[in-house]
Amino acid sequence: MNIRHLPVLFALAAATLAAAAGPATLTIHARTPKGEPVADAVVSLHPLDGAAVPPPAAAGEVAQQNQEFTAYVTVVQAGTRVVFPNKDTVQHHVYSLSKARKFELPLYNPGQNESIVFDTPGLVTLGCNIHDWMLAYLVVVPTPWFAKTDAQGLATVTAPAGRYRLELWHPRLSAALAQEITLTAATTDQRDFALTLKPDRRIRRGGATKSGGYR
Amino acid sequence: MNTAAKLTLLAALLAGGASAQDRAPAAGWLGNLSVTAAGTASWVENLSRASAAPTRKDAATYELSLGASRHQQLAPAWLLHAGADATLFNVPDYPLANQLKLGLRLGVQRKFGLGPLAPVLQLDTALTSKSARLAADRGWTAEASLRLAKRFTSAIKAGVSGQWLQHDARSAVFDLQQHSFSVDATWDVSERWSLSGSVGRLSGDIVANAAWPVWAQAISGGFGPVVAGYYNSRPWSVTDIYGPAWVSYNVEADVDLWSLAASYALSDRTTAELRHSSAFVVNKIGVRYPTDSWGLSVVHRF
Repeated sequence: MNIRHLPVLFALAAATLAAAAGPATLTIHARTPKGEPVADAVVSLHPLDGAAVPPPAAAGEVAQQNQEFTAYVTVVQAGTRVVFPNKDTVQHHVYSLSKARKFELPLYNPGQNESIVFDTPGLVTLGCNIHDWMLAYLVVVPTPWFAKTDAQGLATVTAPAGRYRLELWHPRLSAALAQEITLTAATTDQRDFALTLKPDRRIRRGGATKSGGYR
Repeated sequence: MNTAAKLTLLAALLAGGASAQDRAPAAGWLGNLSVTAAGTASWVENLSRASAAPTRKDAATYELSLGASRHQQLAPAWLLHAGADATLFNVPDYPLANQLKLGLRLGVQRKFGLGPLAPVLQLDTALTSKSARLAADRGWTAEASLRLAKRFTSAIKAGVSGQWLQHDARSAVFDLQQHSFSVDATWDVSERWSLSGSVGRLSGDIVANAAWPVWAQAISGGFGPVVAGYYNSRPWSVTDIYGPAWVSYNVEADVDLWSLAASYALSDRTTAELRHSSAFVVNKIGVRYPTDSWGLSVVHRF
Protein backbone atom coordinates (compact mmCIF):
# COMPACT_ATOMS: atom_id res chain seq x y z
CA MET A 1 0.00 0.00 0.00
CA ASN A 2 1.28 3.39 -0.93
CA ILE A 3 1.87 5.67 2.07
CA ARG A 4 0.17 8.48 0.17
CA HIS A 5 -3.13 6.68 0.63
CA LEU A 6 -2.90 6.71 4.42
CA PRO A 7 -4.64 10.08 4.98
CA VAL A 8 -7.52 8.99 2.79
CA LEU A 9 -7.80 5.74 4.73
CA PHE A 10 -7.75 7.63 8.01
CA ALA A 11 -10.46 9.98 6.78
CA LEU A 12 -12.62 7.09 5.60
CA ALA A 13 -12.11 5.30 8.89
CA ALA A 14 -13.00 8.41 10.85
CA ALA A 15 -16.12 8.95 8.74
CA THR A 16 -17.16 5.31 9.21
CA LEU A 17 -16.67 5.56 12.97
CA ALA A 18 -18.61 8.82 13.11
CA ALA A 19 -21.45 7.35 11.09
CA ALA A 20 -21.51 4.30 13.29
CA ALA A 21 -21.77 6.55 16.34
CA GLY A 22 -24.85 8.27 14.86
CA PRO A 23 -25.42 11.64 13.20
CA ALA A 24 -25.22 14.95 14.97
CA THR A 25 -28.15 17.28 15.38
CA LEU A 26 -27.95 21.06 15.15
CA THR A 27 -30.77 23.27 16.31
CA ILE A 28 -30.91 26.84 15.13
CA HIS A 29 -32.82 29.52 16.99
CA ALA A 30 -33.28 32.67 14.89
CA ARG A 31 -34.64 35.78 16.57
CA THR A 32 -34.58 39.53 16.09
CA PRO A 33 -32.54 41.60 18.58
CA LYS A 34 -35.88 42.24 20.34
CA GLY A 35 -36.40 38.50 20.76
CA GLU A 36 -39.13 38.00 18.13
CA PRO A 37 -38.81 34.70 16.25
CA VAL A 38 -37.62 34.88 12.64
CA ALA A 39 -39.28 32.47 10.23
CA ASP A 40 -37.96 31.54 6.77
CA ALA A 41 -34.27 31.76 7.68
CA VAL A 42 -32.33 29.14 5.74
CA VAL A 43 -29.50 27.32 7.49
CA SER A 44 -27.16 25.05 5.54
CA LEU A 45 -24.09 23.05 6.52
CA HIS A 46 -21.23 22.88 4.01
CA PRO A 47 -18.69 20.14 4.84
CA LEU A 48 -15.09 21.33 5.28
CA ASP A 49 -13.54 17.87 5.67
CA GLY A 50 -14.16 16.84 2.10
CA ALA A 51 -16.94 14.49 3.18
CA ALA A 52 -18.91 12.89 0.38
CA VAL A 53 -22.19 14.65 -0.32
CA PRO A 54 -25.10 12.39 -1.25
CA PRO A 55 -27.18 13.33 -4.30
CA PRO A 56 -30.57 15.03 -3.92
CA ALA A 57 -33.20 12.64 -2.69
CA ALA A 58 -36.57 14.20 -3.45
CA ALA A 59 -38.09 16.80 -5.78
CA GLY A 60 -38.97 20.24 -4.47
CA GLU A 61 -42.19 22.15 -5.04
CA VAL A 62 -43.13 25.80 -5.31
CA ALA A 63 -46.86 26.08 -5.95
CA GLN A 64 -49.03 29.02 -6.98
CA GLN A 65 -52.21 29.24 -4.97
CA ASN A 66 -54.54 32.13 -4.22
CA GLN A 67 -52.26 34.34 -6.32
CA GLU A 68 -49.29 33.76 -4.01
CA PHE A 69 -46.33 31.40 -4.08
CA THR A 70 -46.24 28.68 -1.48
CA ALA A 71 -43.84 28.65 0.17
CA TYR A 72 -42.30 32.10 0.40
CA VAL A 73 -38.87 30.50 0.94
CA THR A 74 -37.93 27.03 -0.33
CA VAL A 75 -34.51 25.43 0.00
CA VAL A 76 -33.29 22.58 -2.17
CA GLN A 77 -30.03 20.81 -2.85
CA ALA A 78 -28.30 21.60 -6.16
CA GLY A 79 -29.42 19.13 -8.79
CA THR A 80 -32.95 18.93 -7.43
CA ARG A 81 -35.94 18.96 -9.77
CA VAL A 82 -38.45 21.57 -8.58
CA VAL A 83 -42.07 21.33 -9.64
CA PHE A 84 -44.12 24.52 -10.12
CA PRO A 85 -47.74 23.38 -10.03
CA ASN A 86 -50.36 26.00 -10.80
CA LYS A 87 -52.94 25.15 -8.12
CA ASP A 88 -54.72 28.44 -8.72
CA THR A 89 -57.83 29.28 -10.69
CA VAL A 90 -56.01 31.88 -12.79
CA GLN A 91 -53.05 31.90 -15.16
CA HIS A 92 -49.56 32.69 -13.96
CA HIS A 93 -46.32 33.58 -15.68
CA VAL A 94 -43.55 32.35 -13.41
CA TYR A 95 -40.06 33.71 -14.07
CA SER A 96 -36.67 34.32 -12.54
CA LEU A 97 -34.04 36.84 -13.54
CA SER A 98 -31.50 35.51 -11.02
CA LYS A 99 -27.96 34.63 -12.10
CA ALA A 100 -28.28 31.19 -10.52
CA ARG A 101 -31.10 30.28 -12.93
CA LYS A 102 -32.90 32.45 -15.44
CA PHE A 103 -36.14 30.94 -16.71
CA GLU A 104 -39.69 31.70 -17.76
CA LEU A 105 -42.90 29.65 -17.65
CA PRO A 106 -45.34 31.78 -19.67
CA LEU A 107 -48.92 30.90 -20.68
CA TYR A 108 -49.08 28.85 -17.53
CA ASN A 109 -52.64 27.64 -17.00
CA PRO A 110 -54.33 26.26 -13.88
CA GLY A 111 -53.59 22.57 -13.48
CA GLN A 112 -50.26 22.73 -15.33
CA ASN A 113 -47.25 21.18 -13.63
CA GLU A 114 -43.96 22.43 -15.08
CA SER A 115 -40.66 21.41 -13.50
CA ILE A 116 -37.05 22.59 -13.72
CA VAL A 117 -33.77 21.13 -12.45
CA PHE A 118 -31.70 23.64 -10.45
CA ASP A 119 -28.04 22.65 -10.87
CA THR A 120 -26.28 25.82 -9.81
CA PRO A 121 -26.12 26.80 -6.14
CA GLY A 122 -27.35 30.30 -5.42
CA LEU A 123 -30.43 32.36 -4.80
CA VAL A 124 -33.26 32.17 -7.32
CA THR A 125 -35.82 34.94 -6.90
CA LEU A 126 -39.19 33.94 -8.33
CA GLY A 127 -41.92 36.25 -9.58
CA CYS A 128 -45.10 36.21 -11.61
CA ASN A 129 -45.15 38.59 -14.56
CA ILE A 130 -48.93 38.99 -14.31
CA HIS A 131 -49.22 39.42 -10.54
CA ASP A 132 -46.33 41.68 -9.56
CA TRP A 133 -46.79 41.16 -5.83
CA MET A 134 -46.08 37.42 -6.11
CA LEU A 135 -42.58 36.82 -4.79
CA ALA A 136 -40.73 33.75 -3.55
CA TYR A 137 -37.18 32.65 -3.00
CA LEU A 138 -35.66 29.34 -3.98
CA VAL A 139 -32.35 28.82 -2.17
CA VAL A 140 -30.23 26.25 -4.00
CA VAL A 141 -27.47 24.88 -1.75
CA PRO A 142 -24.65 22.43 -2.62
CA THR A 143 -25.38 20.27 0.39
CA PRO A 144 -28.16 17.95 1.58
CA TRP A 145 -27.86 19.29 5.15
CA PHE A 146 -30.18 22.26 5.38
CA ALA A 147 -33.35 23.44 7.08
CA LYS A 148 -35.63 26.48 7.27
CA THR A 149 -36.80 28.14 10.47
CA ASP A 150 -40.47 27.78 11.35
CA ALA A 151 -42.82 30.36 12.86
CA GLN A 152 -41.06 29.92 16.21
CA GLY A 153 -37.71 30.70 14.59
CA LEU A 154 -36.52 27.11 15.04
CA ALA A 155 -34.82 24.81 12.56
CA THR A 156 -33.15 21.45 13.03
CA VAL A 157 -30.48 19.96 10.78
CA THR A 158 -29.25 16.40 11.11
CA ALA A 159 -25.81 15.74 9.59
CA PRO A 160 -22.84 13.42 10.01
CA ALA A 161 -20.30 14.52 12.60
CA GLY A 162 -17.56 16.72 11.23
CA ARG A 163 -16.46 20.26 10.48
CA TYR A 164 -18.82 22.49 8.54
CA ARG A 165 -19.26 26.04 7.40
CA LEU A 166 -22.68 27.02 8.70
CA GLU A 167 -24.44 29.53 6.47
CA LEU A 168 -27.57 31.37 7.45
CA TRP A 169 -29.62 33.38 4.96
CA HIS A 170 -32.88 35.31 5.18
CA PRO A 171 -34.59 37.50 2.53
CA ARG A 172 -34.29 40.52 4.81
CA LEU A 173 -30.65 40.08 5.85
CA SER A 174 -28.17 42.38 4.12
CA ALA A 175 -25.75 39.48 3.71
CA ALA A 176 -25.68 35.80 4.59
CA LEU A 177 -24.00 34.92 7.90
CA ALA A 178 -21.31 32.23 8.02
CA GLN A 179 -19.37 30.53 10.79
CA GLU A 180 -17.39 27.37 11.24
CA ILE A 181 -18.91 24.66 13.36
CA THR A 182 -17.84 21.18 14.46
CA LEU A 183 -20.56 18.63 15.07
CA THR A 184 -19.92 15.71 17.35
CA ALA A 185 -21.58 12.39 16.69
CA ALA A 186 -24.77 11.57 18.57
CA THR A 187 -24.97 14.97 20.22
CA THR A 188 -27.25 17.94 19.82
CA ASP A 189 -25.74 21.36 19.36
CA GLN A 190 -27.66 24.63 19.47
CA ARG A 191 -26.83 27.97 17.93
CA ASP A 192 -28.72 31.18 18.59
CA PHE A 193 -28.74 33.98 16.04
CA ALA A 194 -29.91 37.53 16.64
CA LEU A 195 -30.79 38.78 13.16
CA THR A 196 -31.10 42.45 12.29
CA LEU A 197 -33.59 42.45 9.44
CA LYS A 198 -34.10 45.12 6.80
CA PRO A 199 -37.63 46.47 6.35
CA ASP A 200 -39.96 44.26 4.32
CA ARG A 201 -40.13 46.04 0.95
CA ARG A 202 -42.43 43.64 -0.86
CA ILE A 203 -44.85 44.97 -3.46
CA ARG A 204 -48.30 45.24 -1.99
CA ARG A 205 -50.86 42.84 -3.31
CA GLY A 206 -53.07 44.52 -5.91
CA GLY A 207 -56.05 45.34 -3.78
CA ALA A 208 -59.36 46.77 -4.74
CA THR A 209 -58.96 50.34 -5.90
CA LYS A 210 -61.22 52.93 -7.35
CA SER A 211 -59.96 55.21 -10.04
CA GLY A 212 -61.01 58.78 -10.11
CA GLY A 213 -62.82 60.19 -13.07
CA TYR A 214 -64.68 63.09 -14.49
CA ARG A 215 -68.17 62.94 -15.85
CA MET B 1 -70.74 50.63 -37.48
CA ASN B 2 -73.89 51.31 -35.48
CA THR B 3 -74.03 50.89 -31.71
CA ALA B 4 -75.92 47.58 -31.80
CA ALA B 5 -73.25 46.12 -34.08
CA LYS B 6 -70.52 47.44 -31.78
CA LEU B 7 -72.19 45.80 -28.78
CA THR B 8 -72.57 42.50 -30.64
CA LEU B 9 -68.91 42.58 -31.62
CA LEU B 10 -67.82 43.20 -28.04
CA ALA B 11 -70.06 40.43 -26.73
CA ALA B 12 -68.61 38.05 -29.33
CA LEU B 13 -65.08 38.98 -28.32
CA LEU B 14 -65.92 38.37 -24.66
CA ALA B 15 -67.44 35.00 -25.49
CA GLY B 16 -64.37 34.14 -27.59
CA GLY B 17 -62.08 34.88 -24.66
CA ALA B 18 -64.19 32.65 -22.47
CA SER B 19 -63.94 29.74 -24.89
CA ALA B 20 -60.17 30.01 -25.04
CA GLN B 21 -59.98 29.87 -21.26
CA ASP B 22 -62.35 26.91 -21.06
CA ARG B 23 -59.95 24.87 -23.14
CA ALA B 24 -57.25 25.33 -20.50
CA PRO B 25 -57.03 22.35 -18.16
CA ALA B 26 -58.98 22.86 -14.96
CA ALA B 27 -59.45 26.55 -15.72
CA GLY B 28 -63.02 27.25 -14.77
CA TRP B 29 -64.61 30.24 -16.40
CA LEU B 30 -65.88 31.48 -13.06
CA GLY B 31 -62.57 30.78 -11.34
CA ASN B 32 -60.80 33.24 -13.57
CA LEU B 33 -63.43 35.91 -13.10
CA SER B 34 -62.68 38.87 -10.86
CA VAL B 35 -65.73 40.64 -9.45
CA THR B 36 -65.48 44.04 -7.76
CA ALA B 37 -68.14 46.06 -5.98
CA ALA B 38 -67.75 49.67 -4.94
CA GLY B 39 -69.84 52.18 -3.05
CA THR B 40 -69.03 55.90 -2.98
CA ALA B 41 -70.60 58.75 -1.08
CA SER B 42 -69.48 62.20 -2.19
CA TRP B 43 -70.12 65.83 -1.45
CA VAL B 44 -69.91 67.83 -4.64
CA GLU B 45 -69.59 71.59 -4.74
CA ASN B 46 -71.20 73.01 -7.85
CA LEU B 47 -72.60 69.70 -9.02
CA SER B 48 -74.81 71.87 -11.20
CA ARG B 49 -71.77 73.08 -13.13
CA ALA B 50 -73.19 76.59 -13.15
CA SER B 51 -71.07 79.65 -13.88
CA ALA B 52 -73.04 82.11 -11.76
CA ALA B 53 -71.79 81.58 -8.21
CA PRO B 54 -75.02 82.44 -6.34
CA THR B 55 -76.98 79.87 -8.31
CA ARG B 56 -74.55 76.96 -7.94
CA LYS B 57 -75.99 73.81 -6.37
CA ASP B 58 -73.99 71.60 -4.04
CA ALA B 59 -75.22 68.10 -3.34
CA ALA B 60 -74.47 64.71 -1.88
CA THR B 61 -74.13 61.99 -4.48
CA TYR B 62 -74.06 58.22 -4.11
CA GLU B 63 -72.64 55.71 -6.52
CA LEU B 64 -72.80 51.93 -6.52
CA SER B 65 -70.88 49.94 -9.05
CA LEU B 66 -70.37 46.31 -9.83
CA GLY B 67 -67.71 45.14 -12.24
CA ALA B 68 -66.60 41.78 -13.51
CA SER B 69 -63.44 41.19 -15.46
CA ARG B 70 -61.15 38.44 -16.55
CA HIS B 71 -57.81 38.31 -18.25
CA GLN B 72 -56.23 35.87 -20.65
CA GLN B 73 -52.53 35.69 -21.44
CA LEU B 74 -52.27 35.63 -25.23
CA ALA B 75 -48.50 35.45 -25.51
CA PRO B 76 -45.64 35.83 -23.01
CA ALA B 77 -45.88 39.62 -23.08
CA TRP B 78 -49.51 40.12 -24.09
CA LEU B 79 -52.56 40.02 -21.87
CA LEU B 80 -56.19 40.41 -22.94
CA HIS B 81 -58.68 42.00 -20.53
CA ALA B 82 -62.43 41.82 -20.91
CA GLY B 83 -65.11 42.94 -18.53
CA ALA B 84 -68.53 44.34 -17.84
CA ASP B 85 -69.63 47.09 -15.46
CA ALA B 86 -72.85 48.40 -13.99
CA THR B 87 -72.90 51.77 -12.22
CA LEU B 88 -75.82 53.40 -10.46
CA PHE B 89 -75.44 57.14 -9.76
CA ASN B 90 -77.92 58.75 -7.41
CA VAL B 91 -78.45 62.37 -6.35
CA PRO B 92 -81.30 62.44 -3.82
CA ASP B 93 -81.72 66.24 -3.99
CA TYR B 94 -81.80 66.32 -7.79
CA PRO B 95 -83.33 63.06 -9.05
CA LEU B 96 -83.13 64.14 -12.69
CA ALA B 97 -79.35 63.72 -12.38
CA ASN B 98 -79.76 60.03 -11.54
CA GLN B 99 -78.41 57.56 -14.05
CA LEU B 100 -77.56 53.92 -14.65
CA LYS B 101 -74.68 52.86 -16.86
CA LEU B 102 -74.10 49.38 -18.24
CA GLY B 103 -70.91 48.79 -20.14
CA LEU B 104 -68.54 46.33 -21.70
CA ARG B 105 -64.77 46.71 -21.70
CA LEU B 106 -62.08 45.14 -23.79
CA GLY B 107 -58.37 45.84 -23.54
CA VAL B 108 -54.98 44.53 -24.37
CA GLN B 109 -51.81 44.97 -22.36
CA ARG B 110 -48.19 44.68 -23.45
CA LYS B 111 -45.47 44.35 -20.84
CA PHE B 112 -41.98 45.29 -21.96
CA GLY B 113 -39.84 42.77 -20.13
CA LEU B 114 -40.11 40.66 -17.04
CA GLY B 115 -40.63 41.74 -13.48
CA PRO B 116 -42.50 44.39 -11.57
CA LEU B 117 -40.33 47.24 -12.86
CA ALA B 118 -41.04 46.50 -16.52
CA PRO B 119 -43.14 49.21 -18.21
CA VAL B 120 -46.66 48.29 -19.25
CA LEU B 121 -48.61 49.71 -22.18
CA GLN B 122 -52.35 49.21 -22.04
CA LEU B 123 -55.01 49.92 -24.65
CA ASP B 124 -58.58 49.85 -23.34
CA THR B 125 -61.89 50.29 -25.09
CA ALA B 126 -65.35 50.51 -23.60
CA LEU B 127 -68.89 50.78 -24.83
CA THR B 128 -71.48 51.91 -22.31
CA SER B 129 -75.22 52.37 -22.38
CA LYS B 130 -76.36 55.33 -20.30
CA SER B 131 -79.91 55.21 -18.95
CA ALA B 132 -80.26 58.64 -17.46
CA ARG B 133 -83.38 59.77 -15.64
CA LEU B 134 -83.21 62.73 -17.96
CA ALA B 135 -84.34 61.14 -21.22
CA ALA B 136 -82.38 63.59 -23.37
CA ASP B 137 -79.11 62.33 -21.85
CA ARG B 138 -79.76 58.66 -22.63
CA GLY B 139 -77.48 57.13 -25.18
CA TRP B 140 -74.25 55.30 -25.87
CA THR B 141 -70.73 56.17 -24.84
CA ALA B 142 -67.64 54.86 -26.60
CA GLU B 143 -64.28 55.25 -24.91
CA ALA B 144 -60.69 54.39 -25.71
CA SER B 145 -57.59 54.97 -23.66
CA LEU B 146 -53.90 54.35 -23.93
CA ARG B 147 -51.84 54.16 -20.76
CA LEU B 148 -48.14 53.69 -20.14
CA ALA B 149 -47.35 52.71 -16.56
CA LYS B 150 -44.09 52.04 -14.81
CA ARG B 151 -43.23 50.94 -11.31
CA PHE B 152 -40.09 52.68 -10.03
CA THR B 153 -39.71 50.97 -6.66
CA SER B 154 -41.70 48.41 -4.74
CA ALA B 155 -43.74 51.29 -3.35
CA ILE B 156 -43.95 53.87 -6.14
CA LYS B 157 -45.55 53.61 -9.54
CA ALA B 158 -46.67 56.17 -12.08
CA GLY B 159 -48.41 56.37 -15.39
CA VAL B 160 -49.37 58.63 -18.25
CA SER B 161 -52.67 58.22 -20.03
CA GLY B 162 -54.51 59.56 -23.01
CA GLN B 163 -58.27 59.10 -23.26
CA TRP B 164 -60.90 59.69 -25.91
CA LEU B 165 -64.65 59.67 -25.27
CA GLN B 166 -67.73 60.11 -27.41
CA HIS B 167 -71.26 60.14 -26.04
CA ASP B 168 -74.14 60.02 -28.51
CA ALA B 169 -77.24 61.13 -26.64
CA ARG B 170 -80.85 61.50 -27.69
CA SER B 171 -80.44 65.25 -27.58
CA ALA B 172 -77.52 67.16 -29.07
CA VAL B 173 -77.30 69.08 -25.77
CA PHE B 174 -75.78 65.97 -24.17
CA ASP B 175 -73.59 64.83 -27.06
CA LEU B 176 -69.97 64.82 -25.97
CA GLN B 177 -66.66 64.43 -27.69
CA GLN B 178 -63.68 64.73 -25.39
CA HIS B 179 -60.02 63.89 -25.24
CA SER B 180 -57.80 64.13 -22.22
CA PHE B 181 -54.28 63.53 -20.98
CA SER B 182 -53.29 62.78 -17.42
CA VAL B 183 -50.35 61.80 -15.25
CA ASP B 184 -50.85 59.82 -12.09
CA ALA B 185 -48.71 58.34 -9.34
CA THR B 186 -49.28 56.04 -6.39
CA TRP B 187 -47.14 55.67 -3.31
CA ASP B 188 -47.70 52.67 -1.06
CA VAL B 189 -46.72 54.39 2.16
CA SER B 190 -47.06 51.27 4.29
CA GLU B 191 -48.56 47.81 4.18
CA ARG B 192 -52.04 49.34 4.34
CA TRP B 193 -51.83 53.02 3.45
CA SER B 194 -51.46 54.43 -0.06
CA LEU B 195 -51.44 57.95 -1.42
CA SER B 196 -52.24 58.66 -5.01
CA GLY B 197 -52.63 61.71 -7.13
CA SER B 198 -53.32 62.70 -10.67
CA VAL B 199 -53.30 65.81 -12.81
CA GLY B 200 -54.72 66.13 -16.25
CA ARG B 201 -56.34 68.26 -18.89
CA LEU B 202 -59.49 67.49 -20.78
CA SER B 203 -60.64 69.24 -23.93
CA GLY B 204 -63.95 68.89 -25.66
CA ASP B 205 -67.66 69.23 -25.06
CA ILE B 206 -69.05 69.82 -21.58
CA VAL B 207 -72.66 70.07 -20.45
CA ALA B 208 -73.19 73.05 -18.17
CA ASN B 209 -76.37 74.30 -16.54
CA ALA B 210 -77.91 77.61 -15.65
CA ALA B 211 -80.96 78.92 -13.82
CA TRP B 212 -83.42 80.49 -16.25
CA PRO B 213 -82.86 84.14 -15.20
CA VAL B 214 -79.12 83.77 -15.79
CA TRP B 215 -79.60 81.95 -19.08
CA ALA B 216 -82.18 84.41 -20.34
CA GLN B 217 -79.79 87.25 -19.65
CA ALA B 218 -76.95 85.41 -21.37
CA ILE B 219 -78.73 84.64 -24.61
CA SER B 220 -80.37 88.07 -24.79
CA GLY B 221 -77.03 89.86 -24.66
CA GLY B 222 -77.10 90.91 -21.02
CA PHE B 223 -73.53 89.60 -20.59
CA GLY B 224 -72.36 91.04 -23.87
CA PRO B 225 -72.53 90.10 -27.53
CA VAL B 226 -69.74 87.46 -27.35
CA VAL B 227 -71.59 85.44 -24.71
CA ALA B 228 -74.92 85.80 -26.47
CA GLY B 229 -73.44 84.91 -29.86
CA TYR B 230 -71.69 81.83 -28.55
CA TYR B 231 -74.53 80.48 -26.38
CA ASN B 232 -77.07 80.98 -29.17
CA SER B 233 -74.82 78.91 -31.44
CA ARG B 234 -74.73 75.95 -29.05
CA PRO B 235 -77.47 73.36 -28.34
CA TRP B 236 -79.50 73.99 -25.19
CA SER B 237 -82.83 73.01 -23.68
CA VAL B 238 -84.88 73.48 -20.54
CA THR B 239 -84.36 70.32 -18.47
CA ASP B 240 -85.43 71.40 -14.94
CA ILE B 241 -82.47 69.31 -13.75
CA TYR B 242 -81.48 71.53 -10.79
CA GLY B 243 -84.78 73.32 -10.32
CA PRO B 244 -87.74 74.66 -12.24
CA ALA B 245 -86.76 76.13 -15.61
CA TRP B 246 -83.08 75.24 -15.29
CA VAL B 247 -81.36 75.01 -18.64
CA SER B 248 -78.72 72.51 -19.76
CA TYR B 249 -76.40 73.66 -22.51
CA ASN B 250 -73.41 72.28 -24.35
CA VAL B 251 -70.14 74.20 -24.57
CA GLU B 252 -66.63 73.57 -25.81
CA ALA B 253 -64.21 73.79 -22.93
CA ASP B 254 -60.85 72.96 -21.43
CA VAL B 255 -60.84 71.35 -18.02
CA ASP B 256 -57.93 71.27 -15.58
CA LEU B 257 -58.30 68.22 -13.41
CA TRP B 258 -56.51 67.06 -10.31
CA SER B 259 -57.22 64.64 -7.53
CA LEU B 260 -55.58 63.36 -4.38
CA ALA B 261 -56.58 60.19 -2.61
CA ALA B 262 -55.59 58.35 0.52
CA SER B 263 -56.58 54.72 0.66
CA TYR B 264 -56.46 52.20 3.45
CA ALA B 265 -56.48 48.46 2.77
CA LEU B 266 -58.96 47.01 5.26
CA SER B 267 -57.96 43.58 3.99
CA ASP B 268 -56.42 42.02 0.88
CA ARG B 269 -59.80 42.39 -0.75
CA THR B 270 -61.31 45.55 0.71
CA THR B 271 -60.05 49.11 0.46
CA ALA B 272 -61.44 52.36 1.79
CA GLU B 273 -60.50 55.53 -0.03
CA LEU B 274 -60.91 59.24 0.66
CA ARG B 275 -60.57 61.33 -2.48
CA HIS B 276 -60.59 65.03 -3.20
CA SER B 277 -61.11 65.93 -6.84
CA SER B 278 -61.17 69.24 -8.56
CA ALA B 279 -62.23 70.20 -12.06
CA PHE B 280 -61.79 73.73 -13.28
CA VAL B 281 -63.76 74.18 -16.48
CA VAL B 282 -63.18 77.16 -18.73
CA ASN B 283 -65.36 77.31 -21.80
CA LYS B 284 -64.43 78.65 -25.20
CA ILE B 285 -65.41 82.21 -24.33
CA GLY B 286 -63.70 82.20 -20.93
CA VAL B 287 -66.67 81.45 -18.68
CA ARG B 288 -65.59 79.39 -15.65
CA TYR B 289 -67.29 76.50 -13.85
CA PRO B 290 -65.22 75.28 -10.87
CA THR B 291 -66.25 71.98 -9.34
CA ASP B 292 -64.81 70.27 -6.27
CA SER B 293 -65.74 67.05 -4.59
CA TRP B 294 -64.89 64.96 -1.55
CA GLY B 295 -65.66 61.27 -1.82
CA LEU B 296 -65.42 58.29 0.46
CA SER B 297 -65.39 54.89 -1.24
CA VAL B 298 -65.31 51.33 -0.14
CA VAL B 299 -64.21 48.85 -2.78
CA HIS B 300 -64.40 45.11 -2.36
CA ARG B 301 -62.91 42.49 -4.65
CA PHE B 302 -64.77 39.16 -4.33
